[in-house]
Amino acid sequence: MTSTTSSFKTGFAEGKAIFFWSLRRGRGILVLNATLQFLLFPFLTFLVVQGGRREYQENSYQQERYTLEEYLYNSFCSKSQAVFYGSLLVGIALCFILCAFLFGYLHQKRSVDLMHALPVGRVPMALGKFCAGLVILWLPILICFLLDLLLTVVMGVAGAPSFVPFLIGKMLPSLGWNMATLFTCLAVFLFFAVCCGTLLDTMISVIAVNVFYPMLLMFVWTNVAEQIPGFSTDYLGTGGPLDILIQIGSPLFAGFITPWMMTSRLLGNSLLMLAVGIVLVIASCLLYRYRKSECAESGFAFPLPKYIICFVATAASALLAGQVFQYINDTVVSYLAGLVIGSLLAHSIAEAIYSRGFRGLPKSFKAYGVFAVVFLIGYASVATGLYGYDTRVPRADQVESVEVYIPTQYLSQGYSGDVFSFNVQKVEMDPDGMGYTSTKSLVDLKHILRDTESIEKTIAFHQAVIDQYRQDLYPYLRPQSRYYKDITLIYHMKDGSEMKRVFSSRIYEEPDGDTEAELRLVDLFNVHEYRTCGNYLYYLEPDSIADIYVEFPHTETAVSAPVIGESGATAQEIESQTVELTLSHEQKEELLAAIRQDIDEMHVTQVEPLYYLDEPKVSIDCMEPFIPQGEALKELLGDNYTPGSRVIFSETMYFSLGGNYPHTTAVMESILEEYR
Amino acid sequence: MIEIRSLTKKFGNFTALDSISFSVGDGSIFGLVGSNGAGKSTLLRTIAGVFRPDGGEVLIDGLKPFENSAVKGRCMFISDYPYFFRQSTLSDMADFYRRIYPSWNENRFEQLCGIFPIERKKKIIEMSKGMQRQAALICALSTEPEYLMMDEIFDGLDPVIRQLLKRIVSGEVSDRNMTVLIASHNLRELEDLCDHVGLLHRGGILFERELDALKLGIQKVQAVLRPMPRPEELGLDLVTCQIRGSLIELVARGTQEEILARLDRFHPTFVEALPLTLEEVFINEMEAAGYDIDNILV
Repeated sequence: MTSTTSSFKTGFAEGKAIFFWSLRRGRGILVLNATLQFLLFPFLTFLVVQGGRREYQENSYQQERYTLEEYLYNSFCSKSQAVFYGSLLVGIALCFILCAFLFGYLHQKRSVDLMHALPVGRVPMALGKFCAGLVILWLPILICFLLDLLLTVVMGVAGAPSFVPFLIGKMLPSLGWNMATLFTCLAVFLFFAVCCGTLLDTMISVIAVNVFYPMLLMFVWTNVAEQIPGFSTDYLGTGGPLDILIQIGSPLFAGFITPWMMTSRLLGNSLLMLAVGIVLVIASCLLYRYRKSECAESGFAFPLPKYIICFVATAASALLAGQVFQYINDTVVSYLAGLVIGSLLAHSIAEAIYSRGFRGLPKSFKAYGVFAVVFLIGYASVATGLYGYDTRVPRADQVESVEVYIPTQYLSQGYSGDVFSFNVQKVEMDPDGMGYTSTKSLVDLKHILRDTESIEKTIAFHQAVIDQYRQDLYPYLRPQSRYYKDITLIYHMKDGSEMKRVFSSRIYEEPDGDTEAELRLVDLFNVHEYRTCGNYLYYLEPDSIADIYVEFPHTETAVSAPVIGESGATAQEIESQTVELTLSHEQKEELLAAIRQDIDEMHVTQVEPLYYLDEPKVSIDCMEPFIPQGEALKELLGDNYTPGSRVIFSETMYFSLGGNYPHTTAVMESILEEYR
Repeated sequence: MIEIRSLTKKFGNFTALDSISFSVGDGSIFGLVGSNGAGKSTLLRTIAGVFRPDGGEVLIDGLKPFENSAVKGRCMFISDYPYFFRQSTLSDMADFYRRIYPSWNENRFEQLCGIFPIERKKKIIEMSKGMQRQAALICALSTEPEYLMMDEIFDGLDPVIRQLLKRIVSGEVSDRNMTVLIASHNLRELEDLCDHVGLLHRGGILFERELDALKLGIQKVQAVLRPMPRPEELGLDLVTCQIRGSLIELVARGTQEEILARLDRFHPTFVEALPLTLEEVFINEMEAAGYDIDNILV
């Protein structure tokens, strides 16, 4: 114990000496960083707030709407995120300089002779230099941030009621993210400086891993999603595994993009970023202890990162070339040719860069062979359905419930584009009550089916879709972006697990005639629970309806057109007539009741309504802020809702009148009659 | 005391040091000689703790120097191309060593700055090669090391500074019992300074011996003999023998008295014992050992 304590004290003293020496030598970079951060934080704040003050004093309209503090606060907020981003960019750029300054000694034989002969352990040396780098990066940011805060107090910005929530909710998390990112960026440089033999290789490796790794992940992710039926397509910014993998493997890239994509998760991401940085620092220290001094100026001290980077760059380039070739010529052969050509080119370029020439290229094809085998195994796995992933269907008796999101033209279930995002939001109204300043999601409407019949019919539909995929696309040799995924099935299993699958409705819509999947979908649609569960129409209240627009069927007009050759051509000009209706409270109630009755009683025989194009289209603008009155909505909102506050639905409703909406059609006709 | 036991160091497939064993006693000045690529610099770097041995061990007072700050704090290594921080002056470097070495002696630094003709505030990078070595020496000696390792230290130094260096190093050895290892091609300089020498060749040590013992065991004699006997008639353990008319110049093993007594039997007109240079001793030793000397010393 005494020995350990003594060793720690000695190491600490050694690290301290290196730390202060490095800090002294790096004071130029410190001053540079401080100057840039000063320009970004207090100086820019001063300019922005001063400008805001002048605008406010010159604009009487703004004076009526806002207090001076509120106006200055708005000006301050508008520049805040950009400032934090700018500050982060400056810090990341300085990491490159700091890498050369702090860890460059590892890459010169002469400096290694000096530094490694010193009575300083390698770990204290690395940590002393790393900490000096951190101080150079962090100290100016912290001081300038505090000066910024002081300035907001002095200039009156902090007097705005929203300032403290903004400080806690946005500024401090952004500051934390910046500091965590810079910590990890410096750790990345330390790690590669230890692994590489030259500074150039260090820089190349850091850039390569931060460019090609996220590129590879995104290509793999999108390709797998587009190739394998059912594979979920959660992209960047959703906080999913893709984001976590990118943050772990390429912190510089994550540092750049995360503040824009996941502002609400910055705290968690900061902690993850910090954890990645700590792991990198520990790994660097462990590797440094075994690093051979003689590898300075020559290749890699630890070649594994080089092989991994070459592998990643080759794979990413192969997939990129595959996409490009497929875009040029949409065939499997073209896609495969792209994979091969892209990977060969990328491998040769990577080898030429790392070996400073092509002399080692023939030998390097052994590594390419390993890459090819691994890539082929991965490709074959995807092409054959990822070991049964594509055909996996749960048994009905294992399923507790299933969330079903399928676009349909019979009724609106909150389907917007290819995302189901229907929710009820809390609204902050403007003081004049004319508009609203912000919204906050209170509850998402979910279409969760629990009845055994619903589950069985969902599974039957699922199985039919899979069969259709297998029949049309198996083996899945290339990404099929045209089959965009718009169907989501999420099974909540009795054992607590979850199984999510997403599919494209195109797979069963495109073939002629009724496919098995379409028949199974009709079966599902005729289940009452499917139509009514989670359907927001059952939560709408008359006050939520603003206006109703009725678009009558197309009237086609033949117009003359230029004659081409011997045959004449005609163009069709499509005209439509839209009527805007404003209903009384009673009419709205009557309309809602009719819609609900139609949905309750609906029975369909085919997936798409035949009369769709010939019937008037109705869109109900139900995005009027209102105070909930009905028990159904109050129950849905639960504890999330503050009584008396206004809410708003996130989507409006579209449907076609006709056979499936007889009661609604009758009500609408009577209203239209009145209108006429 | 520096003990080297079966020390092996490899760079990839190339073996730079091949199971070397020898020791350097406290207070001695040990000269390492050998051709380019013999492993002199590698050996010094391994002793200084810069390189980790791939086999065997280096012990300084019984402790391994690699990753051992306590041992390294008592050693100082001046490489063949000393490194200085960018834009640094001698004062900056002194400040660095002052922070790192607990044994830093400020008075000694001031003293050495007075002895060596060097500007403290001038950027070292702008200095000549010889001046840079002087700067490195000043910093190294100011840490008052117990073990000083110098690689090709005489390169770039003018004769005056060489003599000054030898005097200072000898003084440190006699005053503080400092142990010195010098790797050099320059046998003449080593001859003046060293008390022990070791010859490295292709990663192995051919021999290491006390310089005086080395010189005492072999003699160079010039004599005029009439008539000239055949060399085998001399009854000497000859290493080399050249006869030009009545003049014979020979190198033979044995004490000076023994060899001269032998020659007296042939009633020489003139006989004289000549001093052997270290280079000649080496050449003779190597040839006697059956090595092709042209491939060993350059």
